[in-house]
Amino acid sequence: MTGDPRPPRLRISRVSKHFEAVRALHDVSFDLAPGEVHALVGENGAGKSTLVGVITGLLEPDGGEVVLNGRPVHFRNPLQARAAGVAAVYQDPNLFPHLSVAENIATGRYPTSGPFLDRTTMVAQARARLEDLGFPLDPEQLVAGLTVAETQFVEIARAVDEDLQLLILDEPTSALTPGEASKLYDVVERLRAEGTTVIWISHRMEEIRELADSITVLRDGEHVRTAPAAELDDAEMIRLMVGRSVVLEQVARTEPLGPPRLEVENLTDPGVFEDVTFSVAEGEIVGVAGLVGAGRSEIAQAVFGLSPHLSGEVRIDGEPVVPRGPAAMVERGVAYLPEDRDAEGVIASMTIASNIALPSIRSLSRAGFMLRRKERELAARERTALSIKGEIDDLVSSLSGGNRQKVALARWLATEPRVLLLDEPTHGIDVGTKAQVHDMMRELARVRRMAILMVSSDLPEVLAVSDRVLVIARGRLVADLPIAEATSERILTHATAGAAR
Amino acid sequence: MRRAIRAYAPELLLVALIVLAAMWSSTLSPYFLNAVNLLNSAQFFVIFALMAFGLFPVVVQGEIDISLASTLAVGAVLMAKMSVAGIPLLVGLAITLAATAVLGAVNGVLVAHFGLPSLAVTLGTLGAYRGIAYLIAGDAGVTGITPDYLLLGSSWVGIVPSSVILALVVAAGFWVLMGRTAFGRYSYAIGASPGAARMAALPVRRIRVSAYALAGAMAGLAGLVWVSQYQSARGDNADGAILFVLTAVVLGGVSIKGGTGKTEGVLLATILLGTIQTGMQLANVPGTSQRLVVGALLIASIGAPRVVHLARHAWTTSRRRLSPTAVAQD
Repeated sequence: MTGDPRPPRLRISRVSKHFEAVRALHDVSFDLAPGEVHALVGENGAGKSTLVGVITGLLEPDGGEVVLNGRPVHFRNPLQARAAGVAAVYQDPNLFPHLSVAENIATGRYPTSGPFLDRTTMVAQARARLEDLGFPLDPEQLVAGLTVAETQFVEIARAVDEDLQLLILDEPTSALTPGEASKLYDVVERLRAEGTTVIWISHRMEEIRELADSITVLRDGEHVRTAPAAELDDAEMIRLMVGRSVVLEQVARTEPLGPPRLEVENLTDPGVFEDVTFSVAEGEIVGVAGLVGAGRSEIAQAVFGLSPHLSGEVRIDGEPVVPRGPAAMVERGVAYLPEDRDAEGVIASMTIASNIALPSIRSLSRAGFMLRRKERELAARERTALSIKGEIDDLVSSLSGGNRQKVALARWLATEPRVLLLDEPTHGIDVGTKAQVHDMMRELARVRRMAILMVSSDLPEVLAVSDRVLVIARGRLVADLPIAEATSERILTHATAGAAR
Repeated sequence: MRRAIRAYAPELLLVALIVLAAMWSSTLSPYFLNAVNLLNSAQFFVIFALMAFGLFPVVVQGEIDISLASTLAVGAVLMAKMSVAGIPLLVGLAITLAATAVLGAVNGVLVAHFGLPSLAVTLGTLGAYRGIAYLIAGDAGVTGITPDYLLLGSSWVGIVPSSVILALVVAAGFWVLMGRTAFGRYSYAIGASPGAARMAALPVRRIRVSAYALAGAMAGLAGLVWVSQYQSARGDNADGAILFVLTAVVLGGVSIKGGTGKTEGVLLATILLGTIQTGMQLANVPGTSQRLVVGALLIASIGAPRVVHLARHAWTTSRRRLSPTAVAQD
């Protein structure tokens, strides 16, 4: 395009991809320079994952081509892509849990001596690479025992080898603590210095600011703009992503809080969390912040009856209850929205109507027989209330992440809970839907008088939605901050101070 | 219309295969395509049909029960013993159904409450229940069944054998159970995603145990049909029948991984297998080779979705490769 004699590291040229009638990518073209960090941003469903799939050979484009270092490439699977120096690391690490770190790193390239596996060399190579990258991992440890962040490091160590041309990181920091994330930034900066091009997919503005040389915005499967990072400010970037401007803002609460709905006293699950005491009032939203692995989700799950070794007391509307199982807690008016939407939140192979009806089946059946008209009425009502895209007879698998999350939420709202436990309610959801979910939460608390406990790793979200913020560190409640006193800095200080032993 | 064809594609395919198998059989014997003859052959597959219906919800839930043929043997020898002891039919049937339901529930409890793999559990009870059947029956087996216990296997409504009517009534019952009740809905949800079912506060364990108990009771009912048709019962009754039963379920479109499948499919698959088996008997195919065919059908029906997937992939890939832009690239 310009007079630069070097070909771009990667050129995406007029790439299109359709899934049945859905247009995932339409005529997308842009270039990535050698040795740059290129942020790829866009709402969920904008086409980022599809594009990654096309680049790595996971998906075949309907049209257009991918050009690596001036030569058109046509990878038929990710293995071929890796052989050509193109590797991708996804949000959910894809490792062999029963094998060691070294074995995972060496996958497919095991050093051998004769017909035998050369373990000594394999471990030494893995150790050298981990040290080189600054990841403090024992190569002989089993992957099953690692934290999410550590498994991600293993994935990266596996992807990085001598002839790496292009590394794609898909929301790499979503499960990382700030310390771990900065370690990852260092690695990315080093790769850039060595001439590797990095595609960085993220929803977090601050890390895009810190790392990216250029930014490409996708929206609804179309290329919106590629520009040097310095030319796009945050507001402009969000505007390009959503086609309008969205800000996460607090909405002042005018309705008074009621009496405590959920009270938790000295809740302990040995080795997971200890001596946790808090309460959530009618009409209140309490945010639960802390580092990943601090025990936040586990506390919410325990209240929902998912921990067998629980001690301490739980009261709902003043009445003591024993959280013996989800069914018992649902009967008491407690609902839990799990973090892992696709494995636990919805059943993708069933229809929207069946998903919404699932926890309410007892009230939607008589003598064991389904009352189908009631079921459909309920589904239609919730679909409208949450403005879920798609008809109630559509399969949930045909929906985007944001709409799946709405279905997961709708099924619980249909049970008319009094206490709503939300675990990362907007994890991986685009900015526009996120704001909708926040509005919905405010309405549920303030108008429908629910008590909401929201576990979230997204600090702007915690600050925008909560009336009060609990900070958990290493399984202990270390701070209980009224929203007026809560700031990102203060929350992080508590979260990390508690984390240091 | 198109949507309806798509939704019932597996069932339509089964109907087509049944017609083909029937045409083949009729070339082997001029007596095959005769209503009375067809219905009389059908009664010998009622036992398999009842067991297949019982197994159906278990497989929909993503589990398996290979002990059902042994449970049938327990049911058959219990019925025979009670007949000889002079216990009235309905009382005997109630006791048998209760006992076989308990045997099924034991499987269910081991799987659902102790989290043991269902294949291993029911392989164990396959042996254990067979042993119980031998203990009850003794070495010689039980003969001298009283007429009331034989009625089901030796009576007709018009030209239709009573046991065939029983199978059709049970089929209708399962159609309602799986399509119209909370139990059915729970079963599909549990099979499709056990994690999501648990998080949705579904009574997963209770539903699993119920499915196993129901499967056991259906095997017990099949035991009654057995006694009424063969007029005796022994410890080794129906040994190996699980191959036919599981094939019927999977061939009927019930995914071995759980979450899908219809009652209509299971019924049609049983009819298809029955037609093929009858045809093979007419063609004097030895019993050992018949088992080979049924076993191959089981593997084919488990493999079919995979083959369809691969074929579809190959088709789209080859089309791409032939398109002008792709050629220009290479």
